[in-house]
Amino acid sequence: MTNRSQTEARDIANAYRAANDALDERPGLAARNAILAAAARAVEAKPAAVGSLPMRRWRFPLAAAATVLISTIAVIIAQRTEREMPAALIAESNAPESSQAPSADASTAGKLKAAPAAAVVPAPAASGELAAVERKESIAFARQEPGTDERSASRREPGRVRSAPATARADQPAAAAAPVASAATDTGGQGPEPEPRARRNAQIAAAMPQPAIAPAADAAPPASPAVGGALMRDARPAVERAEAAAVTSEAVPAMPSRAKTTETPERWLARIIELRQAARDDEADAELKKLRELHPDLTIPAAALRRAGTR
Amino acid sequence: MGQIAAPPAASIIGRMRERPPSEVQTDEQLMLDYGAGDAAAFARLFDRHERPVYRFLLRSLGGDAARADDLLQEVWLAVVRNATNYEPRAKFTTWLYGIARTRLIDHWRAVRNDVSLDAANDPEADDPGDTLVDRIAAARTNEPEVQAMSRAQAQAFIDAVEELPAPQREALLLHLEGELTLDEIARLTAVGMETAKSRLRYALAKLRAALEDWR
Repeated sequence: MTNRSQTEARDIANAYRAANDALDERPGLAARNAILAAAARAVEAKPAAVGSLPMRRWRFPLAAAATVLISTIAVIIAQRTEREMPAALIAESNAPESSQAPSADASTAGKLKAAPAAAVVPAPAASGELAAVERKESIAFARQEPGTDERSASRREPGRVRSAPATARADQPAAAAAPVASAATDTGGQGPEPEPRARRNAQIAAAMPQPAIAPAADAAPPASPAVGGALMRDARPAVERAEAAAVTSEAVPAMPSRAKTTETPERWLARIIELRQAARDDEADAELKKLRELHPDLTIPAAALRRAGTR
Repeated sequence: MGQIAAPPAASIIGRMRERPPSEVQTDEQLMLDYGAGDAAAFARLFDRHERPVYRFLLRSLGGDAARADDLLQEVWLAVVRNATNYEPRAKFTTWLYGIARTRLIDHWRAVRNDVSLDAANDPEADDPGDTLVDRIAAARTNEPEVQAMSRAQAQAFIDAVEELPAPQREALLLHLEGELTLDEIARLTAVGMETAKSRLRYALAKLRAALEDWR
């Protein structure tokens, strides 16, 4: 029975194959060619796909890591650029305040004598910066309770402020700006004539990064020495550059060249007029010459011009 | 039981060409070679299985050559796409006909055909036996002495195959075209071994009856 069924199955299979052979059915040539072409294309593309298999696996982690790395580098560069920004640019950004409080310059500069630190060229804009810092410090001191901070107490004693060592200030940059302002607050207009050293201190304060000053002034409590030290270290290159500039132009309200180029003509004219009024005609002439070079079409007011017979 | 007409010598040679000699690489090895980038391996594999797969599709589709061409293309493109992931865990033909069967099911679902490979689980489902026998008998030519099956007879026999109930036809075609064993057919069609065996037995019995009557 089993043998018979197997024989019958074999017969059916043979009949089926004979029928296939008789009909000779085969797929269309187009379908055949399409399949072979697709297979060939896949093989051509395969080496790259096989080769990039590990790359495919690590593509997203690598992309994420690269994104994080690039972002971090960009932030670090931005922060360093901001820290190393020349004092003049910072001063320029605060220049309107200097025009609003011109009288503060003299008093501030006078009191800056008490503030020991590296010397920098005094500048009107830097004085404006100091005025701004002074106002912030005044607010901070007003908020502070008396006796809560030893340094705040010392600020109220000009003598102690004068004797404050420079090294200590270098380690505590957030506090460094505070004595400058506090000295101005305490001594009122009693200070002597502005001195180059005091102006340099003012320039240091201007050269310091704005974020380092503002939080200290607003929050009143003394900044952490470690953080302050780091900020001070970052600010040192700017201070050194400012010192170098001080050597070339001593005790003159000169703007750094970068600031000049970005200064508005109106503000420049105002400064020239101030120089004329201060009888610094040579400097005013020099500034006027530069102004004319940069703004040849600017109408110069009579007040900015040298008066006849002054030379 | 009468003798069935012997196939012509040319067809035997043709079938020998289709069957790989023992020294020739196996299907699985060819597939692995193709996955590694050997295009010639695919060409050899395709030559071996192109026509059996095509016939499997053609018979399952009731002789619709255009649709069989489309599905053949889909089947082999699926082979191409999966070549890099191919692992010879089973016979290549089992995998290949599994793809073909899936494509057929997709096709039937798309055309909402009532005839489904999975739906008809009864091995003795509708039997168009009488009409089949009649058709084969009608296809008989007036050449009783011919050794080879005439084209009309062949067509009538193939028609008989195509009109088998879908599960029986599927089991028969997997056995005849794919040369799968009963166990492989059972696994591929997700049925028990006995079910696969009975499907194949019913299919053969119907075709035998047709052939008997024809002779």
